[in-house]
Amino acid sequence: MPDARSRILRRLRRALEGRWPLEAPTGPWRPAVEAADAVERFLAHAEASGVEPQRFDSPAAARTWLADWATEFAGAAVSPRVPPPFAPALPTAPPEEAELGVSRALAAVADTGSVLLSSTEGRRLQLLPPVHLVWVDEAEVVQHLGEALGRLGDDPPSALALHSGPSKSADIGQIMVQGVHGPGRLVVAVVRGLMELEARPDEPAPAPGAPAHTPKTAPPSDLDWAAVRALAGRRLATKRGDAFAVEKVTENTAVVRVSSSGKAYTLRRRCLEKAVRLAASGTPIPGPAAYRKHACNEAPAYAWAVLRALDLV
Amino acid sequence: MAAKGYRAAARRTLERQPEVREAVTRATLHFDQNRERAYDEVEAEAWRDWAAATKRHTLSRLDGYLLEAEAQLTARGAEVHWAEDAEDAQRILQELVERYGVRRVVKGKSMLSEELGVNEHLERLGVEVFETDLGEYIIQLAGEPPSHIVGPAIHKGLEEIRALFHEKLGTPPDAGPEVLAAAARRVLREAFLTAEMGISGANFLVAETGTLVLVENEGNIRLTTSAPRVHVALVGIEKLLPRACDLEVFLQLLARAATGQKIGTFVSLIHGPRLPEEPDGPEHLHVVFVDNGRTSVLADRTMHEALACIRCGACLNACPVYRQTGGHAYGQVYSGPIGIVLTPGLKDPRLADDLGYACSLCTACADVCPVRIPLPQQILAWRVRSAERAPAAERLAFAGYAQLMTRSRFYKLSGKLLRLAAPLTGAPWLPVLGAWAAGRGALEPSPKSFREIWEEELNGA
Repeated sequence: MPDARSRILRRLRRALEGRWPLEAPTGPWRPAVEAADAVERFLAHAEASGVEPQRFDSPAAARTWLADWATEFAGAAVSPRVPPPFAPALPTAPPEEAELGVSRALAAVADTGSVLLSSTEGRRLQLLPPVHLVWVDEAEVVQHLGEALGRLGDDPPSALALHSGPSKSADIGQIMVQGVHGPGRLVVAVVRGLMELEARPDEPAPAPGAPAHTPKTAPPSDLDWAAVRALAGRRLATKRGDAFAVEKVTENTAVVRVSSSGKAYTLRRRCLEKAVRLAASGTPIPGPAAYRKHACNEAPAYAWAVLRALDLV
Repeated sequence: MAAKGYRAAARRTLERQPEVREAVTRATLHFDQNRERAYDEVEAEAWRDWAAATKRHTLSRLDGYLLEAEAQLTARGAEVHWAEDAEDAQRILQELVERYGVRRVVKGKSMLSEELGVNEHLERLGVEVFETDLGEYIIQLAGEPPSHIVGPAIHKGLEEIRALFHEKLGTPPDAGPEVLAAAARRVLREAFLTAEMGISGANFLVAETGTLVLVENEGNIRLTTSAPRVHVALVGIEKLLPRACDLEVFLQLLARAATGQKIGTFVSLIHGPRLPEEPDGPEHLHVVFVDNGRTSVLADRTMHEALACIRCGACLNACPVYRQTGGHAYGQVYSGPIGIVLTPGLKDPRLADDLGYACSLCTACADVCPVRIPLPQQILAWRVRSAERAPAAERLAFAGYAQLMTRSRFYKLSGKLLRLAAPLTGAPWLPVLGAWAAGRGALEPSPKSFREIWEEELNGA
């Protein structure tokens, strides 16, 4: 007996027989470039959807706020992705019982006021506690949804989620109620310098047999950011030969755009620096695969090509 | 037994439940105004063109995209099943229920699961089923089917839901929406944490990455797909999108068209069962590709574009006919303009004989559809097909009518006759004319026809 799969496929092919396959619109759709700052737009859009936004100029300011704010809760379920200084000083509780869940977002999206969360930190703590606190670095706030979704292709976790406000429903008589199943409050804290703080504990520990280096003082990064800045506007190619342009370089990121697809990728300064440090300390990074393995899995093909252009790998 | 069909059901609703019309009108106007505002905020026309072209492209290569998605999902550890019809899908679910020893199922809102009769089948197997979307939970308690794609319980006002919850859950008779929602949350939270299986639909399935995409506002779908140890996703084969980057438009357009939001409050992007290093999530992911009539719609050169539908409900909200009764009068899973077009294609062309006339051909649906499905033209096409099956007497009558109306002398004469007979047009006891007179007043023609006035003016009278 031919199975359902082959029967369905046969019917599909018969239905499409003699029809021209229609072309997809050329290239992915491109949103308008927004004049306003991504963080400002994100905060405004998130607030309009019921998010309680917070913005901090430094990790220290964020920690001061947290120490005070968290006192209203009895226990918290904290993601392992949250750096320890950003975990509230509360007893740990399982997500089913915790009054507060704390996450570390992968990114935030200005267009939609969303945070992008990963299942690697656990899904229950994002959903079961009545209040959800999400940390994100200012440099991780992107303008457009496509920039955040661009990370889907890069070996994603089993589940990603975009949260854009508290759980809500108007199913009872068209009256809006919050906290129906998921968190009734979503607090998103945008912090400047969160990633730098996270990068510190990750300093390469001396490998066995490797020449010892002096801990405590961070080794100076060999990546001259001014050189990266100088690449802005330049056209480069990946190892495979795909052309792309360095569109924009900010204090913490470099944005590249692929010529063929129009897709944009954000390269984080921290990732690039990490790769350069590794290369300088003797880890060979001959291509994107090694970059991804040792340094960072964000857009490794483009990141590697940028470093190659500077002769650093 | 009550008379069947849209017309009879619509009349019953209007006569016996006038509050439904009020509730549905209020809710749909609200949705439609929000949609309009949300379209105005962006370049909606360009987005709609782009989305329509992308969906049509996908449909034209659907076989390839399905296989690509299947390969991606399988590579990530999901198991893919194919179901030709409801019976197939039910058998697959039964096997999974037996394989994993399932006693309790939590469900996220899925119109496809309504098509497949999932709840009834699982209940026959002795499985306890919890609809977890608040609206779906309300109608499950009331023992009714959903009446709107996005707001399944929009036909119910606060009073009715209050009474229902008082009876079934013991909430106070004067409880407010917050209290009612909290009562549902308590029951369903326990269900989430004890169910062995979660069943969801899918809004999109990305071929390139095998990403299953689910959009919602309550968080119940995220819980359904996260808490139980098995997740089963029912996916209509038309749900595909080629690339992950296509989601940028579709996620925003869906939300704007449906409720006027920028994006659904919770969007799940699922790639497979939990990874060993992840702290939680389902151990097993089963994805069921369901045909259930979709290949027949695809083969129909007039109707195939209806498969581009992303189930936003905008055409229901814009439809002046839907607004009068809500979805139940259509007697089918899909109601409103898209229901009129899809149902006969998915199930039986003869359903168009009745459903095809639940429409005033005002074309408001085409103005709002985010993927530009030519709904009015398709509804008209269903009517043409119905007319071809009409009794000989009816076809003869219309042929005669066409002859009269295309000859100037007869046309003039018929106008005069109609003015004389005008009082009779309100008489419900007349054969044939009576059907037209029901629900309408008598015609009040002007004493002179347009042509007579025109001629008088020309003659300088």
